[in-house]
Amino acid sequence: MLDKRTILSVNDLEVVLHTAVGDLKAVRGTSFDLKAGEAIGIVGESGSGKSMTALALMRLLPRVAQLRANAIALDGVAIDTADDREFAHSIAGQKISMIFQEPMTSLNPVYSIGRQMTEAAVQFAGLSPKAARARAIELLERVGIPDPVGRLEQYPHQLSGGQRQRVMIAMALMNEPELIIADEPTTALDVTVQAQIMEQLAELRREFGMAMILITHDLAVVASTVDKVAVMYGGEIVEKGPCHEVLSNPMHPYTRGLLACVPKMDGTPRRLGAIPGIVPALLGEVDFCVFSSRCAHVRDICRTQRPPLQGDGARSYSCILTPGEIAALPPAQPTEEMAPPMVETGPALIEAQGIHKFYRVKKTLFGQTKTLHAVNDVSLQIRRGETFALVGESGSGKTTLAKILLGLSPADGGTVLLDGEAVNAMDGRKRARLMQPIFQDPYSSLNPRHTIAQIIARPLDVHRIGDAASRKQAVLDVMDRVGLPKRVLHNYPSQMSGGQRQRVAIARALIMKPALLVCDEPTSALDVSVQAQILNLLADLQQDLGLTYLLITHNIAVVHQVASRIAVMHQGRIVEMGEARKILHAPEHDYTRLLLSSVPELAAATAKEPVQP
Amino acid sequence: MLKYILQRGALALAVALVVSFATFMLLNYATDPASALAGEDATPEIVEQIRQTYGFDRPVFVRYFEWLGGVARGDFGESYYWNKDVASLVLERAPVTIALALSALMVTIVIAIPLGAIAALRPNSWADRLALTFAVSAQAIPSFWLGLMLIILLGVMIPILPISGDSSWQHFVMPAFVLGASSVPAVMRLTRTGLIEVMESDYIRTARSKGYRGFALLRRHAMRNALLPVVSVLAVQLGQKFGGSVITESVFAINGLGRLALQSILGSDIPTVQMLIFIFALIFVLMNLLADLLNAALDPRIRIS
Amino acid sequence: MTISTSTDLPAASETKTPSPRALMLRRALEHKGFIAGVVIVGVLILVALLAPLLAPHDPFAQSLPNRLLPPVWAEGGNWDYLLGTDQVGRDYLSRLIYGARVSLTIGFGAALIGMMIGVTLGICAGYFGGWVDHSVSFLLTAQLALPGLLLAMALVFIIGPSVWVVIGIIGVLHWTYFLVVTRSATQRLKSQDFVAAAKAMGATRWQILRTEILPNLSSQIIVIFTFELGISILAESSLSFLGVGIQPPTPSWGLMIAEGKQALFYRPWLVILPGVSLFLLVIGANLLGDGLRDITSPQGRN
Repeated sequence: MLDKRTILSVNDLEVVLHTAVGDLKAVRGTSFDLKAGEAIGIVGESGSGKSMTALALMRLLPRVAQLRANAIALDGVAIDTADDREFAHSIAGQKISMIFQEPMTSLNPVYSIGRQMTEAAVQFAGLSPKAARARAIELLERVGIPDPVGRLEQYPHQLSGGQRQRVMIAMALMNEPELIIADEPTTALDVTVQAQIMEQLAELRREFGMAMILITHDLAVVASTVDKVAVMYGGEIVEKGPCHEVLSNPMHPYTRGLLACVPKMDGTPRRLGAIPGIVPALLGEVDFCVFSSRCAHVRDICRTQRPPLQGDGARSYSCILTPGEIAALPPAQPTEEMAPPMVETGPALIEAQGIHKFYRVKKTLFGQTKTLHAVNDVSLQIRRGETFALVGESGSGKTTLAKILLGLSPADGGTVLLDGEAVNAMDGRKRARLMQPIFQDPYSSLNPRHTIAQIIARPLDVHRIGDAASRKQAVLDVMDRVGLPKRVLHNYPSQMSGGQRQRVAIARALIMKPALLVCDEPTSALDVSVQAQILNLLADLQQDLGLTYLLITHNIAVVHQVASRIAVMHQGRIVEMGEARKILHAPEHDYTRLLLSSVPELAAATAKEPVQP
Repeated sequence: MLKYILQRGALALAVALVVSFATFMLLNYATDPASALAGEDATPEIVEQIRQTYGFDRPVFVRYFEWLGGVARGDFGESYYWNKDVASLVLERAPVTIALALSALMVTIVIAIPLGAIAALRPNSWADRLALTFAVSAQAIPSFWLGLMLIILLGVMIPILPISGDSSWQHFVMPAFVLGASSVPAVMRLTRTGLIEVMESDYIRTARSKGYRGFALLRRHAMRNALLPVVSVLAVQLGQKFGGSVITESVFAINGLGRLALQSILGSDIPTVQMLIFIFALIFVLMNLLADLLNAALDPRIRIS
Repeated sequence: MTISTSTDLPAASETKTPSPRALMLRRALEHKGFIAGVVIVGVLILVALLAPLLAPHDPFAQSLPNRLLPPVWAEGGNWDYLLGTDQVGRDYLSRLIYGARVSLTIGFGAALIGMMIGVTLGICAGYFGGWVDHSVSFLLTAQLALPGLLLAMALVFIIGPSVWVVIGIIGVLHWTYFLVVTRSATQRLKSQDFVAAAKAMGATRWQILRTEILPNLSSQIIVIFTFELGISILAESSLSFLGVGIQPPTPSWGLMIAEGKQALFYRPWLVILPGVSLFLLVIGANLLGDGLRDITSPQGRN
């Protein structure tokens, strides 16, 4: 490593957002170095400033943002003070390339793939159109796009999300950049595609000898991809160092807390650690430790002084606690084991037999319909008191199946019995008392025009249960259960954080005292520290109220954490079903194996030595 | 692609038929054309006689299909008021209105699109604010009043333009401006919003990351996307210019279709009014169809599906 | 185990976010255009309501000796007739004041009719989709294809002009804007999870439309209403200007411009004054609409 030259050095980067309520320093005092061919992961939750850092380096900050830095140098040349045109024409896309999160919208829909790939190479890098085309074909082939020559004439909408992201990667490599910045490159993709693309990115990086900055919220993705890692919180790097060291021996209380929040795939699931609260908005001067409002080991001095930087250039963290004191701290994750309830016998709460669902998809704007077999002969039983997980990738039919089980959408074949009664013949009120849904996106599941009190009491209104006073008492009781403070009673959803909103949704579902909660990706829109809070809450509620859960998710780690039994769905069919522990440790079906091997693992990287390019 | 054209074409035809039928019903059934034709002082006997002479006593469906059949054969009916066949009346007056509508569209394009683009490239700047203020004001000015004000200003106070008639190109300057100005706010706002949306899109960020800036970015990556909705609206606006010619032509005394419409209404000339409404609707429908085709040509998501 | 260990109380700071209502009020007070719109429309509504108290003369009283008096600031003007008189010697200020009544009555009436038609169709098309949506879309295209002004002229002329006929016809021809916006908003709302949650709790279709959908449409409907108010007022003035709207001697601003047109070259204020009144009222309504839109959805500007 020592013989390699430093190609990027960032010194004291600061990004200021001019907002209506005042200046917000989204990134503060961020410094790091990157050697040729080296990969750094910048990890953080939403609002940590990780994406702003990436956009700042690429000079893509939004209009309201302003960049300040002591110095940013690429190969020894200052790029923060360079003229914007000069930067655009000689550095952007040539020395530094960027890959973005949303492959569906990051390519221009009205121009062909070929044009978008070659234009900059021809205009700015001086390639002949012919040479650029040849290189584009070569790169498309390299990233695993079949029929690259034909693809050049195609338009983005003719490609799948995974293919578009491969095109983005190929496009970023057109001018053989020295540094590639990947901002959540696989977050929008399915886990099997995600694994392939991350692997490919690592391979290409070795092959081309590029350095990489990987921006991600997913610690597990970082673990298997990069050499060193910087953990960001509240706009600052709170800890950085070699990847395996930071992940296996975290120093900063935030890193420790964050790692304790991640559901692990190995061993018996343990109760997750949780970082209380949310990232505070940091307006004006920050003359305290940014993590002090959520830190379990906070001292008075943390609230009035900046924390000192401990360690050296290679491994450092910002905290008042010395390495010795940190080593003496209790573990951030409780040792308490979680046992998903195993129900061997007893009556089925949901019994589905031979469910089919067809969708007629219009292939073109008119005429020509294609029939899609969304759910194909699915039978399953969910027993009272267990957590049944329906696992699959997008398009596997899991959400369609869940809607049928909920009685929200009719099946084209088969029967669903809910507590022994056909679900679609059931009275709405009766069904609502047995079963309630929790949705993925807490921003869309609460009506923005109603107060929290109105939202939670809504099922009682609909069914005309009780009077105003008893409804209010019921709301307060259920809010207490899910850990919502009384003072938010008259708030509107826009005043609440994502985690709080999800608690409101759970409270609304519980007020009818249902036997079953159908949770459709209940945590996938949330940050990992908030996910931990919600998963712990769901586990506690199950224990106290004897609830049955149907969990629909793509997240294998979450399944491992909470599920008793699972069914793996693929292309409308259940390919494997049974006890969670058995399937997760000894999968039998090929697809299950592929799915499990695609899951990035935190544990794997903390043990092994860094990947050398 | 061919299917797309056929589908849009069929829809256009259906709209034209429904609109013509609805107008026919409204003008011939909801009212009594015979008494309108006979005038206020006519005795019931005279009204009845007129009713029979012109066949108004027959079922309205029969008369609609007769009318439609006539239109299909190029027989637009007879004008009682002008004592002429409607077809020749329309042909006589159409060229002036077509010239007026097209020049008005040019005025709209030349003012609205650059203004919208300038406003979009610097949102919330003084230029943007000025453009928006202009749009809000232009939207609030009654176009007949704008015409009269221009007549006072450019026809009387600084007499550089003729104020009525249609005998030279100078005669069209003020009317085209008045008719064109009424579309400026809508087109300008749409250009501005569309362009702002495009400039904030992910694919523009991608283009910026490849090194595109300024005019090259606008021309090579933003323009086509932003113009897609504008093309549709321009076609709609052109279609509406014909209907809008009623006011402009009467203010500037231009003998076109709009003025013909007003005169025919005031003269209770139902066949002419009916035909004009049908023609204007047909023009609108055809313009819409044109917009669909243009959009398909510009947008591969429609062209290749 | 008790629940309290997992509650992870949120940080106190986040509840400082002001309520949507407080935010809206703050934005309203900072929005210059909105304030201007409120003042203009408010004053003109007051003028219309208090017309009998404010008008110095009877707006219908003719006085041939006092024909075509200029406004007070021009040569020959006098303080009895602040804004002069028209061709038959009626006090122009009084006629302008009563004209506000006509414009506002027709504007509100027509916008109300348009709103009822458009919102009903829009919600149905958006919520039910399928053939309902297709039929409504077809109706929309057909309505857009019709030359509105021409048809309104013909209908008013045939049916016979009166304030109510003008209101009805303008209203029936101006629902498309309401339809387009409520339809797409309803489509968007329908796919939100809170609607699915309401379905899952057994709410009826009517309960969902009334409690989940409609409250989220109200601000957009009000915004369009203010724009349609302006559009309807302009439509009435055009009809009256062409002689197929409000009939003399009722003081309508459009009609007053038409009557003043004969004297355009030597008594231009007869045309300028009602035009300025129209401009003020319509720009007030538009500023109000623009402002309301910015205030209710700060992201969705334009």
